[in-house]
Amino acid sequence: MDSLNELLLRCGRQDGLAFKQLYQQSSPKLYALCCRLVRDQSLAEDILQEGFIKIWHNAASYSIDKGQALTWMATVVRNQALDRLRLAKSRPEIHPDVDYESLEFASQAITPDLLTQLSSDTQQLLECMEHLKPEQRECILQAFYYGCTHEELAESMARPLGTVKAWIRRGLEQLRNCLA
Amino acid sequence: MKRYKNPDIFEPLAMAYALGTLHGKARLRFEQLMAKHLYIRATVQAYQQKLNGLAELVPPQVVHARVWQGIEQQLNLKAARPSFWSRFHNQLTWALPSLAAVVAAVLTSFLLNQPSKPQAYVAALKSTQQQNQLVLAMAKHDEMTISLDMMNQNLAKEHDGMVPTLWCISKKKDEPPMRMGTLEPSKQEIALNAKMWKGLEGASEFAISLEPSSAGSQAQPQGEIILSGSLHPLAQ
Repeated sequence: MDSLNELLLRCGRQDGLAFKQLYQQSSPKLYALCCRLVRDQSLAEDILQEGFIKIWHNAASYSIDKGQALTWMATVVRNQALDRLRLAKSRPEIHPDVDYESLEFASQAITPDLLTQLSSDTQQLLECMEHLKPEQRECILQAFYYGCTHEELAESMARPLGTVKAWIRRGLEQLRNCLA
Repeated sequence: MKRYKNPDIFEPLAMAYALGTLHGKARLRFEQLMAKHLYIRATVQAYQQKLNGLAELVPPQVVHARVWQGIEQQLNLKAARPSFWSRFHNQLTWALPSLAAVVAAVLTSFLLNQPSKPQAYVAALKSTQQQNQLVLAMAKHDEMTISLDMMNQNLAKEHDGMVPTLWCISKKKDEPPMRMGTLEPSKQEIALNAKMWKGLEGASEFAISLEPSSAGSQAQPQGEIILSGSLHPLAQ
């Protein structure tokens, strides 16, 4: 099977078949990311569609030195979702049947087998995140996966806004030093 | 503005922007800086690449088919498909399932003792997308037919509104593919005429494409190639 990197490079040459294969292989993860960010499946579908249209139009600017294709595509799709969130006057209600708050998949669920399947950049990032304090780590992961604002984090964690801001700021500083 | 040239100032902002925690006016101000300065854009992109690796951990979710349909419609992808040859050669790079390797080995053993004029041709057509999908095809001179073993698959049913069509691909790259006929669940044989049999002598591959039922008998494949495989001559 062609790797996502190869498929994305072929998309840059306007290869529609490669684009379809790229979509088939990567859309389930990118859709799951959209669902978590916007908490609404219909909106997540719209964002995924818009995101893949951007991916098609911008694929020619992708090269291997820009990192993994999935990460590159996640950037496109996530930016699309964050833009939509900022435009929305209010955040959608959380669906009662779906646990969109859980971070288990990003912590306990990482088995040694899964870890070896991840790109080296992601492995390094996870190692760096292990060194963060639990509350810093949780804030950063909640912000990444669920698009939580400082205010939302302060409310959900029942901590003062300034404390949450400081956790994130210091967490990012530590990550910066670790990733350098 | 000068202070934004200090990495200790702009890097944390770039990270916060990449994470999505830079909000309101601060975000707008930072976006203006990004638009002006390449080094800030590059820093943001670098951190986006690092942080967005977290997307690899998300458990996948099934996407409704309408999303792809919307993309395809909006980009008019069917009209902008790459050429048949480009698609065909791209598909040759797909990994082959072990079953196909076994079939190829069996076919090779047949080839070792064959006389000059083939009396039959066989091909194991492998799916370009589903590793366990395989169709066996055998063209016989004495019956002047191509028999297809669909391995209990119904390609027509799987691809509603599309007609699976068999093509013979010439060894000569400048020769167009030859249409052999359509595959139907009730009739898994295609009749050959002398011209088609002659075409098999110079052929390297069989391929099955999905053609729109409304398209009629096209001289060249218009739709997606779903299966393909090398053609092997056999003696009897």
